[in-house]
Amino acid sequence: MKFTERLKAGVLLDNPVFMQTIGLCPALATTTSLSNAIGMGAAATVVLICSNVVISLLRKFIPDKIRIAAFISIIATFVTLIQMLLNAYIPSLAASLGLFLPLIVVNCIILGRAEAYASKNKVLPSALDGVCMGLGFTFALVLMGFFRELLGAGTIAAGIIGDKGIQIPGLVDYPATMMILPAGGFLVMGFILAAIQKIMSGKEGK
Amino acid sequence: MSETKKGEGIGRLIVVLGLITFVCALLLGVVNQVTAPLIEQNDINTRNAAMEEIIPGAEFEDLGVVLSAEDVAAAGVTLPAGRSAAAISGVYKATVDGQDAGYCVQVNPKGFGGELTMIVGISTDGTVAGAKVTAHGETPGLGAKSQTDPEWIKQYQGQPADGQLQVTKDGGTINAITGSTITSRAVTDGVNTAAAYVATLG
Repeated sequence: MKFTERLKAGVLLDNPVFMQTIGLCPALATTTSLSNAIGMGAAATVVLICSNVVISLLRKFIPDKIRIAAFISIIATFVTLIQMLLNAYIPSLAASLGLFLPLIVVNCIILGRAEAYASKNKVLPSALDGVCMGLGFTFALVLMGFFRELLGAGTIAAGIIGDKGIQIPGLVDYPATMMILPAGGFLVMGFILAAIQKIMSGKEGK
Repeated sequence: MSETKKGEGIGRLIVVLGLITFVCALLLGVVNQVTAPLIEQNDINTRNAAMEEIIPGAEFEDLGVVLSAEDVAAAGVTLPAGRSAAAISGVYKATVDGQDAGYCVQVNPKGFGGELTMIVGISTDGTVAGAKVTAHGETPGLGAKSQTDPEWIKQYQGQPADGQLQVTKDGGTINAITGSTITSRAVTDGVNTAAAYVATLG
């Protein structure tokens, strides 16, 4: 139970998006740019850590039969709390996250980790699991967001490095707009999954 | 997942789930009590900042107008064929140094992800002074550009405030956001509603 091992599992070997292929809906929908990807990843990670801790604390208290209903109530409460607090105290961040926040409720990574890990493990490992899986999710989103923004808008990190980001000459005037549309999400996801399969199969061969 | 016979009765299920939801509701209620006034103040600040940006240096007088979409239509606001008027959640009369400077109208057209909130400025010379989306539920990276892309929203500035603007797809002059025709139409509806409503004020 070393942190580096868990981190490696969360980000690479057991990456929620690329390996477990869960949480695909936000991964496809919100990765139109690098800044969106980081926003969604960070927000989901915070909720994931909170819900993992609370569900782990309550794991002996919640009967099996109603666990899903209980998990969803807890997750939805956290999301709503964070939304209200952000709206009140950091409205600029709330505005830039926009629809991402309420969408976290239906992110199945959160429920998936509650069911698969937090409901069976102690508090500290559960919190750690939240951190690692959250980072893995963020990593996947960042990878997709980077390529989709680069190809679809011709920029890198727009909204992070200044308003316009780094503009790629040539691409920025004639971007492949399809890449930031839903079809582009599926395409980028497909290519990344294929690349990962290739790398993994190469490792196994040795 | 051990199925203990003791303590797994229906009564315990009800009590446990009831307790969890009760604590959740209590937490939400308390935090809502604390944050609601702050959020309201933030909304007012956002609105004031948007109005200041559209008609700089003006003083605004709240006319206390709040109309549903039906009320707006009944007030004689008609939009281009196939489009319907948006709800109005505030009308503010602008004066600069004691001179009439037009109106700012807060409208709520229906977009792709629910209602948008936007401020539309109408100048006394019958043109659109500007528009700004202040809140929305549009898709990030697509419809959300109506708020985040200042270049896009700028095209409304200086357009005739005759309530007849349309996106190019519908035969008008407004360039829609790529992949977000519905949002672009909604923003156009908002501008048109504001323009046509201000026209009825005389």
